[in-house]
Amino acid sequence: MDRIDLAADLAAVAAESPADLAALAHRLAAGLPVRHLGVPQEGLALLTMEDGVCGDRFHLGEAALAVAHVEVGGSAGGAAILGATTATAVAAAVCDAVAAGGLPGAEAVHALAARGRAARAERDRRRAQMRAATRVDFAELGESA
Amino acid sequence: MITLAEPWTAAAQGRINRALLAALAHPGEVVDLGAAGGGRAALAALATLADAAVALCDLHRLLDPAERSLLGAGEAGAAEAPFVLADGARAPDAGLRLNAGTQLRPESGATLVLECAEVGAGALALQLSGPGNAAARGLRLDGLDPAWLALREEHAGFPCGLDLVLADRRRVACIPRTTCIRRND
Repeated sequence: MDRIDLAADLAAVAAESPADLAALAHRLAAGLPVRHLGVPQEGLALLTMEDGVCGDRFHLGEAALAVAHVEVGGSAGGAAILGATTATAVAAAVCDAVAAGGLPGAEAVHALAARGRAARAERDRRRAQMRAATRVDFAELGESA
Repeated sequence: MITLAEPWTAAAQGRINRALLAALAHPGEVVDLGAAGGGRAALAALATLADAAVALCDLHRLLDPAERSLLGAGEAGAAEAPFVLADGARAPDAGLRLNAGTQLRPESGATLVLECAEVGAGALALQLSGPGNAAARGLRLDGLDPAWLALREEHAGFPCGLDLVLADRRRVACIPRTTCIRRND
């Protein structure tokens, strides 16, 4: 699995069921040395977007963000999750490190990530439905005027 | 263990910040930071004052890589860094120049954190006067080379100058740039 996809899946789990993510991270950390590579932080970050026409980057606004950077059993992991707490970001970072290093417990991380992937797919489906409801055919409007 | 120990927790840094503010408000007052720095009050002070938004010059390589990583502060030369950490027992190199700020941006003047053997006891006796002290306050130190005080004088020129944080294992005393220092030993 692509590591960016894994991060997105874990972020989805963090939004849906942060307690499950924390429980798994604590179980993994019990058997492996965990070292913080940076102080976990939460605060407001500028959300950078790219417009779909010219590709120009712009700041949409500020968003609550939590970040964590850890090393587990010699494998580095990180997380940056919108709307999460630092504890949740640390838990996701631990899971990311375990999966990246193929450490004991990596299968459990991938199983939890699969739940996040399903949640993401459902969210994307709902958003596609909402977008479809706003579709406007300008050619038809012109013909009927 | 996933949680961080002191001084890297928000609660500890809030407590240390209040203690440092009290020490700055009353120059020369010795403030106990407890065991938050793991036996190094300078580390507790830096963990509270510095972050990724500022740069730090570790003149004598007193921080190990793990501490440096947790601080998150970028590297900078002594002449530019807003925070400088040094071993107070070692005399500063001849010609050392630190960032004293400018007339337009005096707030960019460096905070110099010096590790000493003892803060509040020792052979070096100072009399501190100026804002924050209604009467002159005495401060005794051990393990601080007086050349650091001379360096502070070289950089003085209000509103520019250096702010000192003197730290031992648990205690700190602050000497902001507005304080006049007279040796009393």
